[in-house]
This record gives sequence, structure tokens and C-alpha cells, in this order.
Amino acid sequence: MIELIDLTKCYGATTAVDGLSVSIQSGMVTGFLGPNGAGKSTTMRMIVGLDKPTAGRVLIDGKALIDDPAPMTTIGALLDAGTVPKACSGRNYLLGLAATHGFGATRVDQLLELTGLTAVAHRPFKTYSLGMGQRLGIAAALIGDPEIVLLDEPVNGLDPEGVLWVRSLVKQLAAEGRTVFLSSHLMSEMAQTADHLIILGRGHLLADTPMDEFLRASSEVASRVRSPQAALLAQALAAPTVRVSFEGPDEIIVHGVQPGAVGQVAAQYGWVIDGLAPVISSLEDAYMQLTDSSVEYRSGATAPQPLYARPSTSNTTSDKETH
Amino acid sequence: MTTALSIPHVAAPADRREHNRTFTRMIASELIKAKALPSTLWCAVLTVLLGMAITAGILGLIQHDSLGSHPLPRGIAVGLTLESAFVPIIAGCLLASVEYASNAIRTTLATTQRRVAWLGAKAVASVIIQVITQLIAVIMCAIVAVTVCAARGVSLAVEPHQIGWIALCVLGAVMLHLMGLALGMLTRSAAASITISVGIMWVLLTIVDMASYMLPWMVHVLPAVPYNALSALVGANGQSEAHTWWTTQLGGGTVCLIWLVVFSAGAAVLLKRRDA
Repeated sequence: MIELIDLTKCYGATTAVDGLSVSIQSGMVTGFLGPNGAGKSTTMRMIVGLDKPTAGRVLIDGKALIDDPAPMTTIGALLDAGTVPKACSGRNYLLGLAATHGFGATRVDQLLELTGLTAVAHRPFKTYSLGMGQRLGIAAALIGDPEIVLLDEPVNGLDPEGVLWVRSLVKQLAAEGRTVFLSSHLMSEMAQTADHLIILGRGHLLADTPMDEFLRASSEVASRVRSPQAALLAQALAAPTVRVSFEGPDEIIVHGVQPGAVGQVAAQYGWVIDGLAPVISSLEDAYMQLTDSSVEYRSGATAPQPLYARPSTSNTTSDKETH
Repeated sequence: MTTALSIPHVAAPADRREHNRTFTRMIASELIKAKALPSTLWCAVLTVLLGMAITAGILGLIQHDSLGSHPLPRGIAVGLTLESAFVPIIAGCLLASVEYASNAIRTTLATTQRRVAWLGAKAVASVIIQVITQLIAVIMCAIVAVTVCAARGVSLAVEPHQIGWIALCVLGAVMLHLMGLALGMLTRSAAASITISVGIMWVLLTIVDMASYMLPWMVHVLPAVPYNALSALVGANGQSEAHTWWTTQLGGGTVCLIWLVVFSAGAAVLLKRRDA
């Protein structure tokens, strides 16, 4: 278990993480979300002791990581996939790391096989693709068979097979009782992987909640209905607190009414219902709603203006005609 | 790319104590890393080749009657240490800065946690590599010296009791290498550490030497300049006109050690305090 106690990190006048207090439990995948600049990477670096907290502390299973005689068996981290000297082969890189805790070539070869890198193990890192680098980083994180696994954007650059593999891997790690702390900007991926969410915004804790609860709390009461009598059903459900939007000729979304109530009205009139389901917000919707006021680096709403005005087709035609 | 899903386990939790991080294991790790880096090999090869070239050049060009004035192995030790001094110091800079250039320092420090101990382990590993390299260089230079002199019809005086000069040559190179390593850790940049190394070793010497013509008291500063201290250590006096204790081998060695301790302490303090 990782405990962050009033963790604060300041860079000059900027406070990257402000009084963060959370516990990251073992036996589940905890997703770590937040907009760019929210303090996620800083928090992860403080957990593994790379950055010194300005205030507060990090406890790993009740003690500071620096006092751990075998940190590699306690925590394994993938913080940046490119942290390998370019001329160094993947195998030598892992051998170097493994040697710090007395792990040998056998362990390294096992991990190369696990990550599918055996065929390229002797190639210099500069020839690796982004996805291969990610796999090597995951292998490095798992050398010590650690109880805690920290992965910062682990699916970056992975092919679909790799994404699926990482998803299954983190789930298996959690199922084995390990603490898995996962940061990603891919909401769909996080929705399928994480059991619990910690969301940061501008260095502050915005949410520390189970995934289901987070989605439920962010969802309004709404029902998606597919029926040949969709228009009639919309009229029958009309009320001041109810809003109906048409998704198609036979499909409506009824805001403010539970699916059960919709079903009762349809049954009352003897109308056919082809589909009826509650509308639950996607993780992306819920996240956007929560972090809307915490986005530090927001992109422009409109397309960027071209630096140089290009002549329009009509002008070109006209020019051609003139000359 | 085929991946497996079953995560190989190391051992039962109780057996994990067998996998504690130790200083010896950190040295082994640094040796593996250094061996895996081509720059280590290039610097070693360059040290040997440069030493051979310098030996061949000097013995091939100097006047016939001067040959033998510095018997083996002293002449080699002096020539090798002073003329190729930039190689071990640059090798040290590269060994440290490659950690930062590739950001490998993050993985290393996250894995080992004990930063100063890790730096010590890296220094020990560097010393091992440097000692081996210098010994090979001395042997190769000796072979070249004997060959060149034989070709010129001169038999070099070999005085076995002066074998200690080889140790001094190796010691000088090791100190330079560790200075480079410390500067690399201080600056976290290959370019900056190499520039500072060159500045401290050669530019500082020129500046102090020139200044001593205008300010006579600067003569007393000359022995404190690293290059002069190194010259004194390997017994190549003559850079400084002031003959004091500082220009003796022991004095030169002490000055080199002071520089080394200052740089190393700075590197250790900054490594411990700075965010990685």
C-alpha cells in the first residue's frame, strides 16, 4: 500500500502538488488521472524518491522507501520509456539493473520473454520502436517481482496486441494482491483497466473514488429507448422535468426518467420496446465534467489561422482568366 | 511481437531478503553498464593507442643522445599520464553524463535509492576499468618504446626498481578519471563537463602561468593548478619554478586529491539534494 500524507511539491512559486493525502490500496488497479500539469508525474516521481517533497511524506507499506533494503522487490516503476542509453542493448540494460539486487541473467531472460523482446534483446536501444521501449520499461519495472507497480502511460506507442497485453497484465498483477498505480490519458483504456480512480487538478485532489461510484455519481438519470413508437412515447412521457432528445427515428433519450418508468408507460399503451437501457456517462464525460475548471493548458477552440493567406480557387481562376 | 502473460515470480516473500541491494552488487551493476557502453571501450582503446603513438613519436623524434635519459618505465609513465591526460578525464565526464543524457539516472536512483552509495559504487567501478586500461596502455607503450629504440640502435635502460612509476601513472589517470566523473555528475552534461575539465586542466594553467609574469606572487599558486600537481605527482617537475613541498610527488598527489575531494563532495551533495 502506498500512503501519501499531505504531500506537497513546489518549484519556486509554482505549487505542482498541494497537500495531497491518499492511500493507494493493494489488490486493485488504481488509475491516476488529471489534465496536463496537474501534478501526476511529479507525484509518481516523489513516490519512487526521485523528487524530494517540499512537505509531507510518502510511506510504502508503512515505511519510507529509502529505508527499504531491497527497493526493487518492493516497488517497480515505469516512469519514462526512453531512459536507456541509446547504444546499450535491452538485455544489458536489464542485466545492469538486475545486478543491483543480485538478480541474474535467468531472471532477465524470463522478463524479456514475458514482454516479447527476446528476439531484439541484443539490439541497441536506439533501434527500438516506442512500443518496444515501453515493453522494455515494463520488463525493468518487473525485475524484482515487486509488490507495488507504478506505470506512467504504459500503453503509449503500443500496438493493439500490446495494449491488450498491458491491460491483462495489470489486471493479473492486481489479482495477485499487488498494488498497481497506473497513469494514462487514454480514458477508454483506463475505463477498462482501473478499479479505483485518483484524479488531480492543478495539484489538488479532485476525486478518490471507486470507478463505478465515480461514473454513477457523474451520470444524470436518463434512459435510452428504441421503439417503433418512439415519437408517441416521447409525447406520453412529456413533463416539465423531462427532456427528450431524438437520436434517430426510432431512438430517443429520455432525460429525467428511469428506464423502469419508461417501460411502465410503454406497457400501459401496449407499445413495443426494442431496447431500453440506462444512460451512464462514459469515463471521458465524467472526467471532463470534473476537471473542466482545472485544465491548465487548454487548446484553442478554433482551427489555427494559416500564417500566409492562400489565394482562393475563384481568385486563382480569375487570375488565370485575366492573364 | 508475441508476449506472455504469466508473470515469472522470483521467490517466496521470505526469500526476497536474498535480493537486498548491497554496495558490491551496485559495483557489479555499474561494471555491467560501463561494459555495455561503447564509449567505455572507445576511451580505453584511445588511451592505449594515444599512449603508443605518443611514445613512438617522442622516442622516434628526439635526438639520439637524449634517448635513455628517462629510463623505462618512468619515461612512459610521465609521457602517458601528461600527454594523454584528457582521455581519462573525458571518459569520466562521459560515464557520468550518459546517465543524465539518457535519463537512465532516474531508473538507477529509483532502483537503488541510496544515491551517495550508488555514486561510490560507480566510482569504484570506474577505478577498476581505469586501472585495467592504464596497465594495458603502459605495457603496450613499453613494447613500442623498446621496439622504436631497438630500431634506432639504442638499448633503453630498464630499471625494475622504478616499477612504482607505473603505479603513479595509474594513480594519476584514476584521479583524472574520477575528477571527470565528479564534474559530469555536477554539470549533468557531457559538453559542460568536458569544457570545464579542459578549462581546469589546461586553460587555468595557461592563465595562472601568464599571470605569474605580471604578479610574482602567482608563482606560489602554480603548484595548486591541477596539471602542475599531476606533473609533480608523476615526477615531471619543471612546470613550476618554485620548488617547495607542493612540487614534490607527495605534494602534487595531495593537491590532486584535494581537487578530487572538492569535486566529489560537490557531486555527492548535489546528487543527494537535487531532484533526479
